[in-house]
Amino acid sequence: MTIRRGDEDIVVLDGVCAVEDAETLLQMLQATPGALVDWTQCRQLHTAVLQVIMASGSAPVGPCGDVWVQQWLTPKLPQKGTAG
Amino acid sequence: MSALEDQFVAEARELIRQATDNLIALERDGMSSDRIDSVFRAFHTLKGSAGVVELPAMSLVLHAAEDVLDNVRHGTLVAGAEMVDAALACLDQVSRWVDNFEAAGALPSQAGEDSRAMAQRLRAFLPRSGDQIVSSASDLPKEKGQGSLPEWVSRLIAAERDTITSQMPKGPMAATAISYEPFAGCFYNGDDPVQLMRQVPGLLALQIEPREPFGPLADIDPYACNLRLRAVSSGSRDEIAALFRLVPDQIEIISVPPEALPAAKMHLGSGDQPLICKVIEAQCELMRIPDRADDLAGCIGAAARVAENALRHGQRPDLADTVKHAGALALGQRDAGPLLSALEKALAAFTSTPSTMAVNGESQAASERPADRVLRVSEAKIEALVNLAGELVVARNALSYSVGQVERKLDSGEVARSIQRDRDAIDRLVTELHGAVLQLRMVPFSQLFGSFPRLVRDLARQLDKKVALVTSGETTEADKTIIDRLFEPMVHLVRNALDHGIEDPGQRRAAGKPEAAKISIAASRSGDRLLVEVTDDGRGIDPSVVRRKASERQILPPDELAALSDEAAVDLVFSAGFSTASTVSDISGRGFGMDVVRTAIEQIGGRVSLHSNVGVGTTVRLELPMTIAMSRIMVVEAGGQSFGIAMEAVSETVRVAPDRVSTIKNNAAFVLRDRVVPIISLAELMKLPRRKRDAEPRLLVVMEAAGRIAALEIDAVRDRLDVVLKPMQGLLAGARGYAGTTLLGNGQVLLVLDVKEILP
Repeated sequence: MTIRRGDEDIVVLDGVCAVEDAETLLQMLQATPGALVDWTQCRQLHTAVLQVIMASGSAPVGPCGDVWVQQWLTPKLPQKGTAG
Repeated sequence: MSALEDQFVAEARELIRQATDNLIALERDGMSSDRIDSVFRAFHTLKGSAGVVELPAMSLVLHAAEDVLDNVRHGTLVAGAEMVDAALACLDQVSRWVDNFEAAGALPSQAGEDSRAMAQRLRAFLPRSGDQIVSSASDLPKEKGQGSLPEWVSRLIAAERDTITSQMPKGPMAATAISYEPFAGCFYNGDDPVQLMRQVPGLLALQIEPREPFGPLADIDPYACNLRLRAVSSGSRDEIAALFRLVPDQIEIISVPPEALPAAKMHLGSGDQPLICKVIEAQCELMRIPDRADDLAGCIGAAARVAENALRHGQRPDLADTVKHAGALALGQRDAGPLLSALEKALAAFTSTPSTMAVNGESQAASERPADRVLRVSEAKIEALVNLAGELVVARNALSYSVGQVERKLDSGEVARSIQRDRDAIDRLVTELHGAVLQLRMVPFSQLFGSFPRLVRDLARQLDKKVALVTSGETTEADKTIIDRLFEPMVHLVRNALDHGIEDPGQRRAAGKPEAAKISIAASRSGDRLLVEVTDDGRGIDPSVVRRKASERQILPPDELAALSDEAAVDLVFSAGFSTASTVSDISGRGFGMDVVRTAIEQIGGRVSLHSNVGVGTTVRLELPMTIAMSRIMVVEAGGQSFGIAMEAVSETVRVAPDRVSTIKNNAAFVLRDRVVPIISLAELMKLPRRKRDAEPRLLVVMEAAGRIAALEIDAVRDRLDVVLKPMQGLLAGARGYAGTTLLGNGQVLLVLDVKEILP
């Protein structure tokens, strides 16, 4: 399981998040509007998963475990609280 | 949709229409600088507006078209038919996108690809001159190196200025800009766009954004890629191209010269925004210091100047001007208040606007030009108002009935007269109100005619015919519903005229006619009816050909066919299953015959007639009501019940003496002006007891519809009314023979007959 529900209202991305995880993540976010995404333990993020995070409109918790994503993409994501 | 988006949709349509008209005029009447300027402006404004509502695909293709037109404008390119075709195709595409945008709030997923393909097609018209940029750069030293770069590259560099400089400590160097728009279905091909980007050598900056704004989470398709990735890399163009070799159609790679990168650029990017904000904040602080009588004037002057310069530096001349004026005002009043509030507003405006606003500022200003402003009201609101006014008319009718009752019951003439006076006043007001409300829906025919020049042009080109279209009566107004419903039949009539009516240029020459044929569309008012005529000067319709086709297609038995006058024979083209074209072409042979025109026109209460002279031409005449919201009906009585008959079907009412009625094969009929008219008893038809009064004269309503005639026998004519016809609903929805119902003044529901169903 690379995507799992952590504590209440938290979705945890763990390890390598591949393309098929996008749907799982989307379903969890749909089921729990406003849920936070914890991606600190994610080692590699697929574009499709990133797109779901972007579409959710809220910034994930903490620095991304995928260092490249953290350096180049995290600053481009909406800040927390600007969820739309 | 936001108000801005609504406005965009409405304006885009107007601009598309304007550009289309002018392009066609340009081609027809030859080049004129006014025309090409107008076309160019329309494309330019469209492009700008598309940028404001963030439809990059639309901007991209419009940008390409704008470049082509700019060349035409400067005489370096000739506007040939191919180019006009391409420009029109571009407008068609944009028009479809506007529809998509209005319906779904976004462009279809393949818009980016379509846009690129079309932009490429347009740019193929551009003259090839490599050094164009260098020569223009010498005129505009400030823009040096910028003119050659696509807008997105300049924007990307400006937005990522800080990141790029931090990644590029050794000063300016050549770089490569990448725009990667993965196909929506790229995930299914195993693509991982972010993964590709990770491999870009010497990454200096990266942007990732949705191509179209994401909808609500519930509607997201996790496997449809809606992203655009843009990057600046210090890698070479070739390295980058090799990396993205598998997605060449989704990628754009641009070489960026060192001077276009931020280190060498004097041009300000958004990186200065914080600095400018600090400067303005400092001026605010200065103005907030209370009680400074001695040096107040100096302070105000200095603060205003500093803030003004900072704002100008930040590409906001509009805010700079506001601050300047506020400064002058503050100086005059010797009060810092006006300047302080202007500074605060400027600060808020400056911080809240993204840097792209400066780019779009021009187009926004253009779209806010003080043109003849109209109030845009949604059709639904007008519809609601029309319905209410209609109900009011019904209520007024009810009131009239009650007043009549009161008059009969009250002996006192005084009270009755007073009620009557009030009733008359309400009567007048309701009539006026209803008229005014219906006026709201009146639109000029120019709206309908607008699309025909384009249609005629395209068809004529397709058919290799020369045709001039003449329209008249554009200012004639009609109810929007009528205009809307007229569109399809009119398109068919014009197509028919072009395809079947008008001869080839060769045939026309042989017939001694000018090579260019003429089709005219004219709208006019005749009393309370509208007349629309479509006339061509083509070959006309030959009655003998129509007769032959009609007998081949067994439209009528041979004996009846032979008995028809030429005019009646020509009218057969309106019969179902009739088509005079010997070959079915893709122009008008789409299973949409003239019978459909007649049906469509009759549905809105109109009539169609056709006059044709062989060798001279054909005129199709549409006679229409001004509005279909109200129907004028005649209330008749038969078998003790009331029924309504639409007045448009009634040609006259006659009283016929019994000796004029003869019986043919068990059916009664009489002769009216040399025509045999069958008589139908309404009471019998409705299975109601019929009064036996064979000795008395019969009261007959002569009705005509769909080319058939009959007389309806009734007991009495009760009234003529304007009513709002309601369609049959609920259990009655399937009942045949009725056009609808309406509520009478006394609360009785009146069934209105569908004359076409009743006619034999």
